[in-house]
Amino acid sequence: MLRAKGLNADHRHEVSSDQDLLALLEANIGIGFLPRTVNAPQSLVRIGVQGLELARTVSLYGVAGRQRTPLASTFMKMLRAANWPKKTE
Amino acid sequence: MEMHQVRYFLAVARTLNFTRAAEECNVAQPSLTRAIKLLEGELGGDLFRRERPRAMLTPLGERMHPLLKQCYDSAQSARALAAMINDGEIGALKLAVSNSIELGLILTHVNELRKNFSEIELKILRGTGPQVVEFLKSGDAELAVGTSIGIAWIAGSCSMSRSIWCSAVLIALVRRKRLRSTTSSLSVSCCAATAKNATTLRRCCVPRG
Repeated sequence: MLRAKGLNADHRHEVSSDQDLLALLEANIGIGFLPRTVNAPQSLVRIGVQGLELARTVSLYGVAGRQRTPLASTFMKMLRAANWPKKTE
Repeated sequence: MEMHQVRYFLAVARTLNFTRAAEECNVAQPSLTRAIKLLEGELGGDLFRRERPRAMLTPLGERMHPLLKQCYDSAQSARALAAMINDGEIGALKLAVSNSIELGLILTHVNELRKNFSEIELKILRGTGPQVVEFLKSGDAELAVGTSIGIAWIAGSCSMSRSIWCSAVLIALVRRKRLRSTTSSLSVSCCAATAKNATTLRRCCVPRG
């Protein structure tokens, strides 16, 4: 995704959890891309990148045809009705 | 032993009068008397001494009273609890959330849900895309949250409905000391340079304003 935007870094690191990524950043190892809602420690700063508008679509899934509890149905309606940002930063 | 017999017994024990007990239970007195007789037959002795117009508990009735009251109260509690569960006032919201999704994205809505369903219990299962699918298929989770790429679709084995509801924006995070205080944004080339050293990063920062 980043390469498609013209960002070709010579060195890349891969981690499978957000906590590990934050730890690497705090240790002054590179720059990272994380969802906007992630709580970052004070030592890190959030910053936009010019010409790089990264977004991903998050979806809600359920098994089709299966009866849901009132709780799950209500939660699903709430998420669908929410005013989600489209592509802003 | 029928629950209505227990209810009639408790009403007579409370009012000490068969007529008033029948009125309280909205039933004809002969029906109430018959039900009490059946209960006495099952327990092997009289529960009340009939002293018109009063009815007094016999020693057997006195011993049975706390037990039958407990039995009736438990049945009432079970009925009330079942109604609350069926109405969704009590229950568990079982969510599978893909590892790549931050929980903060949905917490506002979980809190909103708690305003209407104060007794809800949350069960959040984390996993990879295929694991999330398994949680859904097995019924361990009712709903799942993930990216369309992250969730593995298993054709033919599980029919899933999907509703797109959010576009989560990614931002760059960098150590505060690596940036000048006036920096408001980075260029793409600057991002690539960060892997090399902090000096490069500081040099190519875009000043604020």
